[in-house]
Amino acid sequence: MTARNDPDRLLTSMAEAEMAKLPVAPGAVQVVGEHVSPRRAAVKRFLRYRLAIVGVVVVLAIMIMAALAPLLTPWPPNWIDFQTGARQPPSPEHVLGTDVSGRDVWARVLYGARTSLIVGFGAVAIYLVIGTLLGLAAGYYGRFVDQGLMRFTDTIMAIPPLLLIIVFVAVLGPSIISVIIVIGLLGWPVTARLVRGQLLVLRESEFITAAHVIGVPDRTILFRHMLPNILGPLTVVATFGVATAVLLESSLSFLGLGVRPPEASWGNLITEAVSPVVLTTLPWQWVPAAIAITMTVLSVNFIGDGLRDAIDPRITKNG
Amino acid sequence: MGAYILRRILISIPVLIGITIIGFIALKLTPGDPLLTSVNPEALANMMTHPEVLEAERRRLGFDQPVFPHQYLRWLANVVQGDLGYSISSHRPIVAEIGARLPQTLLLMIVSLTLAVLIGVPIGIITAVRQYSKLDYGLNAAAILLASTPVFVFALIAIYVFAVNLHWLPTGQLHTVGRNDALDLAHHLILPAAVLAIINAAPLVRYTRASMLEVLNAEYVTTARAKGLSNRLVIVRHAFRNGLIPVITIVALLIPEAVAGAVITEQIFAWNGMGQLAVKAAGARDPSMMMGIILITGVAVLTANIIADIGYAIADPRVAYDRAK
Amino acid sequence: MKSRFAAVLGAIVLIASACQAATPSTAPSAAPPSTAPSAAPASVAPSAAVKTVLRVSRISDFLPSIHPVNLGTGNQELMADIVFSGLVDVDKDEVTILPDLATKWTVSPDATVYTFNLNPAAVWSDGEPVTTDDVIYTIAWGAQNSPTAYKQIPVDMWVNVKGGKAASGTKTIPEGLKKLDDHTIEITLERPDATFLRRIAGAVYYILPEHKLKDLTGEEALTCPFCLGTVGVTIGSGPYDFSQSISATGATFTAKKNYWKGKDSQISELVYKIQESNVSVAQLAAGELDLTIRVPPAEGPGLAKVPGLKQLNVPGVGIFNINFNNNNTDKALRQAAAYAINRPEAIEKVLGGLATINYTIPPGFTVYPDINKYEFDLAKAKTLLAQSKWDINKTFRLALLAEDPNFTVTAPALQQYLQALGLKVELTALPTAPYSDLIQKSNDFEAFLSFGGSEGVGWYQSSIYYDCAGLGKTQLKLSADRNECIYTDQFNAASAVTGAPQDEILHKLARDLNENLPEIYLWQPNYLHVYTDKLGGGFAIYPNERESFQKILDWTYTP
Repeated sequence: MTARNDPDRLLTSMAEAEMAKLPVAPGAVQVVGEHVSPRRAAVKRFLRYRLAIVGVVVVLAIMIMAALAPLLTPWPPNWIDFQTGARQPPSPEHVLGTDVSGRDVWARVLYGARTSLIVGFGAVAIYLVIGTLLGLAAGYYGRFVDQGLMRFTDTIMAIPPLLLIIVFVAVLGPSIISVIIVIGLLGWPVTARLVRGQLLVLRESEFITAAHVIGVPDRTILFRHMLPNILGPLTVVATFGVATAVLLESSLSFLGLGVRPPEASWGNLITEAVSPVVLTTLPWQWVPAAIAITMTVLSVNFIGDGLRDAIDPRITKNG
Repeated sequence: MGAYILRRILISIPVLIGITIIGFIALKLTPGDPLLTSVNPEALANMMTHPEVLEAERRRLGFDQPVFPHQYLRWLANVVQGDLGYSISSHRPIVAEIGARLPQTLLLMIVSLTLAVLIGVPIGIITAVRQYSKLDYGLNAAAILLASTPVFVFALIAIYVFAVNLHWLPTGQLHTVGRNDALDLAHHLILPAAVLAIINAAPLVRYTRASMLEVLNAEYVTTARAKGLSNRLVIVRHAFRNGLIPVITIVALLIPEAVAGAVITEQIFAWNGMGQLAVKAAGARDPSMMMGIILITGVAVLTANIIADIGYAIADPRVAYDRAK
Repeated sequence: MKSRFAAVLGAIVLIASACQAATPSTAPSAAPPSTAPSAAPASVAPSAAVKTVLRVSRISDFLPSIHPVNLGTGNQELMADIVFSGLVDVDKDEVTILPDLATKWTVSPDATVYTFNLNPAAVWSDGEPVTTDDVIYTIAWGAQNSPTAYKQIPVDMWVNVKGGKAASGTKTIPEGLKKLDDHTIEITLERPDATFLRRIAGAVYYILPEHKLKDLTGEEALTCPFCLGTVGVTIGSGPYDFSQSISATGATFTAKKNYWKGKDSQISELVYKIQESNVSVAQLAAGELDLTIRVPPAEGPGLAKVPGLKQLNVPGVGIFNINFNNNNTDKALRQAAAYAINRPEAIEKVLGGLATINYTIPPGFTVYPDINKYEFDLAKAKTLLAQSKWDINKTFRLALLAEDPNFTVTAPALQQYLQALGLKVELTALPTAPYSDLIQKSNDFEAFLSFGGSEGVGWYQSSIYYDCAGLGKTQLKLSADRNECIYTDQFNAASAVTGAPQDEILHKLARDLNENLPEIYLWQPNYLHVYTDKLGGGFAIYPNERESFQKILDWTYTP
């Protein structure tokens, strides 16, 4: 969704040139070549893929743990254990201790995973659909629709995303639903641009011109020929988008503007840590959540990296 | 060149209008009496006891008219004249509230972005030049780890290590209580600026690296090497200049992201800037404050982008002569 | 390349530690005064030549204004205490009345006529003398502009002056105010009130300058520069003047020279900060703050390790309670809720034992033996719930202030207890503005959490909450139809007498409130106050901590 999560890949297609607002001479497709021996290239690719596999394993593990949360802990995430009390250190009953209200931290970490994953996938699903439709419309209808859409996306991208999201979540009232809706409604610009860009490239290609000449209807061209080509980059964008959405949700909840207690979210598990006491003497309350967020985002980023390399092997081609 | 600049500015106008529309939407969607945010609280206090005066005021301000375009245009006219309304929490004009905090945020952003460039770009160059070395992998891993760590986690760890444990730096705020001098401010600036700088340096490292790699492997570099120029000269004279051009654009792209990071950083370090104001406004659901912040930030980012575009055109004159897509 | 990196890092560290060395860890402090502390009032302390700065914060809410109409928070009260003076002050036992503007006073046996002799030396910051005219102006203005102008705490004592109620909305001076001469005033009350003297020591009753605020209207009092606490504009008869106007982050004050009470404050400057609790805690630990009132008790152990800091851990006078919307709830439901909450357990397990249990009667009462303590009994609670008219399928909406950690930490516990009872409790956490709108202007809630900051001081402090025409009506939704306005009458009757007759009235009032439960009093959280060991002399934090600055002239600050 943002520049931060799309590093390394520099401008090898017109679509991404559009994204980065750098003009590229028409028709020129720069190829990044590296002076490496074939063996080294294979090793490098494998290494990359290995990281991606690790990422997949980790994310799957987190998803399974989130789904099976009730089996992995006897405590409901909002249940206050009056026997043990608040701010207690880890013990056999509470493997990560209890939080400031007396709830089990491990349970809240587990159910917090649900929050993050639901927001991540939910918001991305929403903006993938919106972005694709709008991008298709812009690329297809061209001229005014296209220019209008470009200016619209420029507008949304001009305002820092966190700021925009904070404001609109506040308007709707902080909750998991409003977070999903707002991230979804504000996250489509990059998707739309990508889709539009790919569409423009493909539109000029001879293959499509031929189909046109034959008389294949537009709709068929769109869905049968263009969409499959877009799927690849879209998946990459979606994956990085999930990472960004998870970071956004945890930031919002940390600030108290997203998912609020008593609902559990990794972000709001860390809110208390601004107090020096909690920061230093009650690490079991916030460190697990911090690690969880980082691990999840890291793994998703690895997956995204791997996918990107997989769908566009040009980057590792010999020069 | 002049035409290019003019074109960039012209393209920005619809974006500017779009930003005002978004701000206006934020203002209108938040529940609450619009009178509270539009009228001077002192004047309003006088009117509160007379409902018919309140009604007349509502009519005078056009709140009975359709939202688009009438109310929007009136509101826009006010904004252009500098009237952004009043905050429901502090009863003071928004312009005053934002104005009081804008310098602090600017200071933080400028210092941290400069530091980010100073850290990120050299490291990116180094890793490109020393590709495949252990250093390359190590720094790359650090960069991707930093990009995956939430800003607030990083900030909390930094506070834990440098402020709470080592006592080298203060835990936050603009000044030590009772002091007002620049040296004290600088002391308090170090940690938040460093946190933001390091977080923003991570993507810069990777972009610079990729850009430099691309250039280093380009044909004219091979040619230069073949001519016998020393590696150093090659890097400095050719690769450098060309490889750094995209970096300017990436820095411009980073600015919205950096502002977002600043929001969280300001909150954690109790840095009295616009980011903290935004969080407070959102918490209190203060509509005109949120609108004002969107407007000002959007305009600032737009301006920064235009400046970056101009800088880019200066660095690479080809840009100015390309037909914009 | 690695070394270059390390060099830069090293440079940053060096600069940082140099800054640390250059920054003094505490504010510059004065040489110890050569006169004996707090003994001779006549001599001016020579420490006025060297600046002492006291940096103070208090963890609680704040409204950036100082006029009584909008004075509702303890932070404002502390500021008002040093800029203004009342007729009297109270000592730290919260009972002994001390002179302030008035040096002498007499009370008629029936507690109806009060005569005050004002100190002829008293002057405002601009040199004008404080006279009976100022007192008459203040009281008359209060009566004339009640109740509409007063947005926070009503000035019931001024309204109770004879003719005060009738003066509301007019410009008439209540007949109970009689000027005997420029420095003597006789006040006759409408209703006898033996608590009058104690209550006018409160900040909302301080005396205002007539010559500055003569034409002020009730609406203007919310926003005029004087009313917002502006340097150079706001003048008072207290020992301090504003040196920096009130803002959302606090204010700064400088001590007056040659203060009319005969001695200057030995603390020449007071920096009052309004900020988040974690900021104050961090600053205390770093030596940047000298006194913080109401530190969250959980921070105690961490701060105990900091050298140079002392702690005061005392039962607070604020009461944490559940207020009911008496329109939507009936007696059986409220009693059921009271039985369902296990207070000792909540205090012990969620608050770490840092609170004292309270009973379901207004605090400060003697604990009468026949009071129902509503000790935890879930079975009884369920029986009562079945008897009530409450439909258990309906949502029970519990509102709370989102920004207050006191509420957000304990609300889930209360919710869980009530859910065990069988209520479908939904927590509604809102920021200040929508929250006030909800509880004061709508009926869309069943209960809300609140904190009576000084209710524990005495029984009379609770009266404003049950006033059928005031807060009792807007918040508790007390209704005359349900005969709930009897509380106001009983409070008034109790303040008219003393001794055994008063006790009898209070006993009945306690029983009525205890049975009908318009509010459930839960517990009194402990207060933790942390201060530097450089504070001494007459320094003390009152049990009602918001009144602590009343004797600031006796404080010393020595390095």
